[in-house]
Amino acid sequence: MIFRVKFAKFGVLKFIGHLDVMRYFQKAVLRAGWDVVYSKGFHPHQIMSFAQPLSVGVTSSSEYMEIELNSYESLEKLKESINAVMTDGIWVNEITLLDEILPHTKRITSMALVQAADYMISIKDGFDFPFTQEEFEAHFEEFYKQNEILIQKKTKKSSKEIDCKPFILGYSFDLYDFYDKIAIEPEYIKDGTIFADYYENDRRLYLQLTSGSETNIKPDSIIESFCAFHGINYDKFAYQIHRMELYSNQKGLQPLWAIR
Amino acid sequence: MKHLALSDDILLTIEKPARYIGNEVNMVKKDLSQIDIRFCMCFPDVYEVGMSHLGIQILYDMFNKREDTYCERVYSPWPDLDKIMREKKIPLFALESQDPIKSFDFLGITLQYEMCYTNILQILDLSGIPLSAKNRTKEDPIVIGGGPCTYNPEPVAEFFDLFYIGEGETVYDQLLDAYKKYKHENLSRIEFLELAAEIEGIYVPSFYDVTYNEEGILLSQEPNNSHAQKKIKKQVESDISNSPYPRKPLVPYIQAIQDRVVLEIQRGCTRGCRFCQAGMIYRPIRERDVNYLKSLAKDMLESTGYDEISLSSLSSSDYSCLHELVYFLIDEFRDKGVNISLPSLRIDSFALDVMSKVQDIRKSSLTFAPEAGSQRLRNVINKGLTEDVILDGAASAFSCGWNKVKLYFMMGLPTETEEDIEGIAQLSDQIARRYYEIPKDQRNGKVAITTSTSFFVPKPFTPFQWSRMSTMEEFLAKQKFLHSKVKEQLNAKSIRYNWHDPETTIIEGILARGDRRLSSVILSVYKAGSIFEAWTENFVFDRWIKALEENQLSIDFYNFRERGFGELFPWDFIDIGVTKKFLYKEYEQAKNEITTPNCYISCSGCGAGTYQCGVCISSHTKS
Ligand code: SF4
Ligand code: SF4
Repeated sequence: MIFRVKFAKFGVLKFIGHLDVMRYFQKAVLRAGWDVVYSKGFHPHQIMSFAQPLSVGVTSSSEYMEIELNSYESLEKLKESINAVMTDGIWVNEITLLDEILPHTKRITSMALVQAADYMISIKDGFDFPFTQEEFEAHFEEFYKQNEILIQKKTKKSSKEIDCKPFILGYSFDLYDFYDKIAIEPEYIKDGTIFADYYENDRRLYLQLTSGSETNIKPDSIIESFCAFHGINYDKFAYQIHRMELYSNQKGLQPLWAIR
Repeated sequence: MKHLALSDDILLTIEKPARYIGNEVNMVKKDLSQIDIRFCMCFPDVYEVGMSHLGIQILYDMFNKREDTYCERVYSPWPDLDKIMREKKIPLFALESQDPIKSFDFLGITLQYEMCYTNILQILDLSGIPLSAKNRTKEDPIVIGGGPCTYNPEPVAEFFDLFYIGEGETVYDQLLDAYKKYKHENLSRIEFLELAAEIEGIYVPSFYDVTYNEEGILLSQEPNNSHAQKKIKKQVESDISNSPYPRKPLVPYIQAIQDRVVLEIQRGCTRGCRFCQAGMIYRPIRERDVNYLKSLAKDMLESTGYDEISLSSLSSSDYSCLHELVYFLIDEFRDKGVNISLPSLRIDSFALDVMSKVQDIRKSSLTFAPEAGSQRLRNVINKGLTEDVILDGAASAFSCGWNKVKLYFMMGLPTETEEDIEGIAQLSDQIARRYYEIPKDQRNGKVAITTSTSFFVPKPFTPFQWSRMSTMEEFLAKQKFLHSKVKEQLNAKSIRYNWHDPETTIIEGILARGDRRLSSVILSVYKAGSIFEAWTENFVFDRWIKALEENQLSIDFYNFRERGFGELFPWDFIDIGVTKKFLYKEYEQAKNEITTPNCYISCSGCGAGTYQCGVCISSHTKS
């Protein structure tokens, strides 16, 4: 049986890269005593996969991992047992048991499901960002009104300019407004927080962007383009990106944890 | 959220930020308001190397069991961060609390190899602690050294307040208690050092004066403080069968060199190879209880989630319950996805059986360390491994499907001749020939032999401590000679020859048997910009040569001189149990090509018997 595990990666864990997070989970499930399925062969390994890895420095409350287990008692127990062996900065907030699939059909993995993502972008304290929150909002509206929003899209080999306007699915400056109009609020929020770091200057932007293996728009590139539009210096360290959710958009927007 | 010592932009600029954030699985957290002593344990190399060290994990666990003590860790910042810390004047910090090292009570530095000596200075410098112990005040931590290099601490004596000679399990409690007295009674730093000097095994280098004769040979090393002991007795934990061991070792986020559970099965070695320092300084051999090890293995795998376990010891085949332990690990954990990584074993039916169970024969290799190429020279070094044992071992492994062999040798051993060196090439070839004796249809492709040589460095507390070391030219000539001989062999195509760089070896030689005058040399090399010299790309030989010249010291004096029987050595003030007399007798035996049996066969009265433990008092050694 396959489980989809949604977890948050925050605080100092933002400095741990994707491969190390994978290695971390391989050990964490053993510490938690999960009844993991192993591949056959001389060096058996766990059957585990991850969706849409984040870059180092980004925090998230919506990381997804799939894992195959032989048995389990209850989803609640699974969650409890793994959270008991976590370090600060990593926390499982949802576990979904995926439906059995028909023989000879292929399951769509989390990775392949991803079509959109929510981000929160905070301005870090101690950087000179020239706008107040009101100005930021006004300037962003103005930026968004362009017919085309050009960003640099870097691939392994080259870098080309594309219009990303169609891929900005929604934006807001207020969390509640964002959840009301654009995003889907998670069911499980730990201690009323969304795992993101809080900065005193209180300037934030919420974005919903096209994501996934076909087209993946990085929030940084939008900010970079915004800065260029307004002729201000773009300092990549001045912004904290936090991913809030990953969605599939096949039958309307659905967070990954809700898909079985 | 936890505050980090380094800002986001620094952490996102440098390589592997995970080296500096702490917060690993099983990291100990304590409430600082309940703590009397803050101890920072340091391994002066990069995080991934330091985190792999078993000794630190044992001490970390042991210190943190004390309620009044909080032990944290620090490793050497990699050159990328080193540069930023100097530019921005960021003080070096401990991983757990991210607090500056300077605010700690103790900084404990483990000395595992000579080429980390400049990193000691990097640690002190970045911490803002005066490099020379004599310039430190009550505001500075007590800097204490431990580990194998402290069996000759003199080259780095100037940088340390104290050295702990021997195994950490015995007198650290006394030392920490003395420290509490110093704090509560508001004693002076000197008064604390005096309290410490009275504890067995603790060496306070500033309490000794040394004199040299006109040739530069040590004449005397005398206490200048009435609290200092004339001889420092190596500390031995006499019963390790059930002694404390970390059931919850730290697990790094990034891959360390040792990325697995490590079980120490025994300490010490009985074999007495004459070049080997570990074989002498850790005497007598003591074993851990096999049932204790089984329970440790289970707990450690559970608490870490590691999928691999390895056994740690010298000469593991000698462990009396090895079969029982290894089969237990295989039966218990193998089908739970746990890999058993075997230590190098004597090739016998047991070894072949377990190797075939836990290794992929096509990928793994057989390892032999004959160390010398001829039986004559193996007798000189007392390496009880004969050509027949190697060839038969290899042959039986070949018939089970192995086809890769790794061979380790040393060059520059005392009495070595060209025939001995040629023997290395011949032995490598003999092994290949054995392989091709197997009928072609039963062979597993071609045989691949990797022959590696390192250069011999005479070490303190070994029978070869009197011995002359080869010069750079001699080393290079030997290497060239062997290389040409390898090429002459019938199976030359199957033999790959690897060698080490002799420049590092020369400096290791100086530091290994050096004296106090070398402190200023190490300082100059550090000031010239050298750190991380255990990483070949950072080692700059010329800086050492220049610094030696500036200090009127010569390589010849330290390395290329046969020392006299009566010569006083800088490390003679340490009593390791094994006597100088025994070591000299062994040196004579070596020159006469006579071997000495290991402790399990008979006791040679080396002197370690004074510790009244381990093999020295077990029934099968009565001689
Ligand atoms: S077997 Fe020889 S080389 Fe190995 S640890 Fe023992 S004494 Fe040293
Ligand atoms: S005293 Fe004898 S048994 Fe003990 S370590 Fe020395 S040689 Fe071995």
